[in-house]
Amino acid sequence: MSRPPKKSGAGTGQVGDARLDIAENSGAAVVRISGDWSIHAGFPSAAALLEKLPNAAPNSLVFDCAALGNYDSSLPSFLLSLLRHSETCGIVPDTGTLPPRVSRLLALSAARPKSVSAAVERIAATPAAARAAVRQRLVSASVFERIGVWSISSVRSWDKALDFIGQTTRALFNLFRGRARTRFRECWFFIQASGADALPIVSLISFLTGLILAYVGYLQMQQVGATVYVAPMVSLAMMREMGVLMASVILCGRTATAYAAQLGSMQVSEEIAALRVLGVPPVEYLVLPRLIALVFTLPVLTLYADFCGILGGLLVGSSMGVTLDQSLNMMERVMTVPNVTSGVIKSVFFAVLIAWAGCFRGMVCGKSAQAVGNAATSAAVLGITLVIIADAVFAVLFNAINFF
Amino acid sequence: MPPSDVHHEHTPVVPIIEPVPHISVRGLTMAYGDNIVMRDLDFEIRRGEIFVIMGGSGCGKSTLLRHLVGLQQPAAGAVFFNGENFTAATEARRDVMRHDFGVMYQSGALWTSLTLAENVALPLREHTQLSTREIDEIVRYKLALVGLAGFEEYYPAQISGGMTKRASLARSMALDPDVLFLDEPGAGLDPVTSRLLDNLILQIRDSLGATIVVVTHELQNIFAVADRALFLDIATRTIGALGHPVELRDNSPNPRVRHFLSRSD
Repeated sequence: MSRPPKKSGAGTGQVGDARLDIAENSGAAVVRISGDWSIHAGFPSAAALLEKLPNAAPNSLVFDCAALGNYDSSLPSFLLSLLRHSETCGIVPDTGTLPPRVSRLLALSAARPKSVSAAVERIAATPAAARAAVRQRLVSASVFERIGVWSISSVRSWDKALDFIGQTTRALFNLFRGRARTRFRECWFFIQASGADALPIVSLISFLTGLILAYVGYLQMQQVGATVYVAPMVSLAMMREMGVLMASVILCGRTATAYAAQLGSMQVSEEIAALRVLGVPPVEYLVLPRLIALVFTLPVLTLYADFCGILGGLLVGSSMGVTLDQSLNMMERVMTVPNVTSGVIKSVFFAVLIAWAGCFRGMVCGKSAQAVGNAATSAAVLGITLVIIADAVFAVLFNAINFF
Repeated sequence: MPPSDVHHEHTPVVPIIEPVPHISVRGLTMAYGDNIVMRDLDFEIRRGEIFVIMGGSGCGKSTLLRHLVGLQQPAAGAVFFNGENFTAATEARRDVMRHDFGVMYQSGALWTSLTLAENVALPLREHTQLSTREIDEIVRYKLALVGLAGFEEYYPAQISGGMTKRASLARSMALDPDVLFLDEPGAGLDPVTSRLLDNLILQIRDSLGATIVVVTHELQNIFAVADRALFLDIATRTIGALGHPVELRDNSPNPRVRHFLSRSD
């Protein structure tokens, strides 16, 4: 290391009551520390002090603490910084000239616990590939590297997902054979948590969705004098698409995240490992009750969301001059079996997807608080993504079989 | 008010340790990806002994325990129970073999949605044909054995750390297992509670005759319970020493073992 630029003559420094003087004496720099040192008053900079060294570079650093008053950790902090700086400049500090208490504190801060030494040795002994992987995370990678890393992690993620699909399928197979080791009693708890407890938010969101649809439709219909069609339009939209989608999105946000957090916490506290060692398949014991609960809950919530949305549409219609009788008469035309049941049919499949997304993210969760948070977030994202994809598939399918 | 903790006093009994291996570990190598934790582990655990796996933090003690109970697959080597290869067995066969295991986890790992009684009852419900009354009586006995009589209807969140450990021990003993695996039983406990747990472990071995494998780095636990101790050496990534802890502390040729057991600088 190069030495800092030197200035001629001795230097001084003072911050608060803490005072420093540096002078050269027979080839050694003498640092005179005096006054009261307090972390509340601040203390001088070690680097700035070294810059005040005289032209003839000293080889050693000695301390004169005869006039030192009271001090706290500000003094050892300054000295530690000074020792580091002086070593990089090739100056050998003589800590023996410091007061014994200060010397002991410095020795303590310089000591490295054996466990830390072992950890450093372990890192040094880590294979080059592993170190490179760590470095890759620390150093910003190129676009191609990022794509590569993302691709590999995606493939691994798919591997886990397929494994979990297999386990869930086997658990469902055992359930239909009556051999699943699950706690059906827990289903009631999950039905209440995902169904009854979600009613207020489903009511609000669905009612407002119907209201918004009605307003948008009314503005268009008004231009052609067909405002009477607003109510059937809202009913059709709610029953076929929006009711089930709104209920599903709410369950993704409320229930899938809760499932992921619950199972993730169980991973952290080794509860799932305990089940595994006991010979109880965790998927049957933990995932099936949650999945069964959602399969019962979502269709009911879907019908309820349809009702709330239609109510919102009727309210807008009546406020725009369309009578309730007119609206109900027009709605009768769209109240067909395919229209009413299409949302319910989809909701059964969506329920499986939402429960699966939440449970999957929880079961593959890491073992830290942050991992549990990540699992909950990704459960919501995965759930909503799967629901939208599945809805698109159903749209194509219903069109193909003319289910209108 | 719940009843107060029951203090167990251990009356020394000459343990029956059979000179036949109950568990054999052959050429076991443990790894996380490319990072080898321990390599070429070869040792045997005798039937009826209290066998301690010890070593510094991060040396792989708990990882070894996870390999012994089949929660992790080894990179190489195998674990044998009563001469049968546990590592190579099918998952179904492993489940059957695990009926002879009881595991107490470092965190207790009690199922938080179940009461203490339900926690202890679950293994009995899953693996026996006992009636509800019989299960209830066994559960009460097991909880009383660990000083938790009267706490049957409590949930894990309502009890202290020491009680969680004891409840976990009760659950691990539910099926009267041949082998008890205890992961850091004294971790996070005050010295008095830790000592009580040590006494409990000795009593369980003496009364039930189970083989007990304890993972710990706490010297007090090691000297209190171990018939033999295995030292995992983080420097060489293999076994550092195997023997009675006092003998190892005084005579081990490995300085790291002597240092670990004497806790000198």
